[in-house]
Amino acid sequence: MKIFRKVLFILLVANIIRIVPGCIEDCDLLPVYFDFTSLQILNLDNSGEWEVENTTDSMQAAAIAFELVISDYPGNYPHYSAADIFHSFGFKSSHAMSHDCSQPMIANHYLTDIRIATLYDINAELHAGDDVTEYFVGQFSTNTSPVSGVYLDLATIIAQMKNKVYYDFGVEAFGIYLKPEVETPQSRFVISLTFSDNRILTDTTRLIHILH
Amino acid sequence: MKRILFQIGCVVALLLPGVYSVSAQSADNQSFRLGLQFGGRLIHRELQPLTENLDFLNYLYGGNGNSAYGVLRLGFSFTPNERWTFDAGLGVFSDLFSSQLNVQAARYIKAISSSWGWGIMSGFEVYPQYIDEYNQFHIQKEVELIGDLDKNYRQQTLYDLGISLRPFLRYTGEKLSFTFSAGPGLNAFKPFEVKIMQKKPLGNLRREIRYETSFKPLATVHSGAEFSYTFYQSEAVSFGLLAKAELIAGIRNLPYSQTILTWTAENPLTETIHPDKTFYSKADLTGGVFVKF
Repeated sequence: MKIFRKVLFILLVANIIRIVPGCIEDCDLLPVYFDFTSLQILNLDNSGEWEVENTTDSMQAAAIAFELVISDYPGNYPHYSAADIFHSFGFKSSHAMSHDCSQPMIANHYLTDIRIATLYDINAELHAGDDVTEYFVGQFSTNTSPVSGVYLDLATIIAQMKNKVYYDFGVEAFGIYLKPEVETPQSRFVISLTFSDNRILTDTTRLIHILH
Repeated sequence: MKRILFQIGCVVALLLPGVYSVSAQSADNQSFRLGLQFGGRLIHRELQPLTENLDFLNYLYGGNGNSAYGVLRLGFSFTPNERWTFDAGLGVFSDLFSSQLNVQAARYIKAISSSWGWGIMSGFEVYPQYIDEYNQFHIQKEVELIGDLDKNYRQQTLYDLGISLRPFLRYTGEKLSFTFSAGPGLNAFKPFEVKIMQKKPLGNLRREIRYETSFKPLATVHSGAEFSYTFYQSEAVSFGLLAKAELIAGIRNLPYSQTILTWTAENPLTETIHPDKTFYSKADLTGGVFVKF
C-alpha cells in the first residue's frame, strides 16, 4: 500500500512539473502580410561623427542626407488594435511564463527600384532634372544608432529588403547620402520607390538650403 | 583565527606526506621542482619615423619604444633522470588575464668536470604584450578626416610565438647551481585583425580600413640564465631561491595586409605592407622561491 502511495506521489509530482512548460506560450506565430503604402522623407544631419535627425532645412554642401521611411501606416496591426486598448481597461490577462512574442511581418511586395532626380543643379555636371540615383549610397537605420562602417549601394539596400521579416511593425527606414558636394545654394530631390507589384511611391524632399 | 590555523594545518598535513612519499619514490634521482617568481619584462623596439603606412610595433605598450610589464610566473620542472629535464611555466601580467606559456626540454650531454657540464635544450614559448592606441597614426596623419570613429581605448594583445634550440652550460654546486644558454630561434607574431572607421567632418564620406597581420616567422636569438640557491635541504625536500633571466632578440617587423573601403564595400583596395625591420628585444628578469622534492 505504501509503495502504491509513493508511486502515485511521484506521478503527481511529474504531472505538476509537466504543467509548468505547458503554461509557456510559444512564439511560433504565423507572419502577418502587409503592403508598404507610405513614404516619408526626413532630413538628416550627417555633418558630425554620427548622423542625427535634422530639424532644419539646411545641410552642409558635402553632407546631403535623407532618411526614407516606408511603412504600411495607417496599417493594420491586429495585435495593437482597438480591442487591445479595450482589453487593457479590464484586468490584465494572465499568461504564466508567457514570452514577449514579437509578431513577424512580411511585405507582400518588395522594393525593386529606387530613382532619385534632382530639381536643382548640383554642380557643373549634374543639372536640374538629371537622374542622380547612382550618386547616392544608403545605409539601413537602426533603432539605436546609425550602423557603423561604410555605406551600401542602393542595389544592395533593395536586395536586402527582399523577403525581409519585420517584427511588430511593417516599417523600413534607411538613409540615403549624396556623394558629390553640392555647389549651388539650394537643393531638392524627387524620390520614387517602385515595388514588385509595379506600385510607385513618390515624394519630394523639402527645399534644402546649402551651407558652404 | 584558530579555525584558519586549523584549516592551514590540515592542508599542510595532507600535502607533506604526499611530498615525502613522492620523494621516497624518487630515489633514482627523479625530482620535481615547483617555483613561484615575480619580476619584470622589458620589451625594447626603436620607434620608427611616421611613414605612409601604420607600423603597429610603434605603438607597443608605453608608446616610447620601451614597454615594461610586471610578470608573475609559476614554474614546474621534472627531472626523470640525470640526463633529461623538462620545464613548463605559466605567467600572467598584473591584470591576471594575459597569459604566457613556455615549455622546454633539456638534455644533459657531457660532464666537463665534477661541477660543470653541458647539454642542449629546445623550447617553445608564447608571451603576450599590448599594442595601445594605434589609431593615433590615423588621428595624427589624416587630419582631413575624423581619424577613428571608435572612441574606445584601443588595445590589442599581441602574442609572440617562438621556438629555440640552445646549447647550455651548467654548474652544479652543493648549494648553488646555474645554467647559461644561448642559441638560434624562430619567432612570429600571432595574426590579428582590427579595423578603423573614418568619416569626413561636414561631409558624407566614410572610409573603413581593415588590417590583417601576417604570420611570418623570423630568425631570433634566445638566451637564458638560471640561478638557484638551496638554503634548506633534507633527504626528502629542499627549498631555495630561484632567479631567471631570459632574452629574445632579433631584427623584426609586423607585416600586414591593408584593405581600404571608401564609401561602400565595392572596389576595395588591398595592399600588403612590410614595415621596416628593426631591432626588437624582450628581456625578462624574475626571482622567487622553489621547492624541490
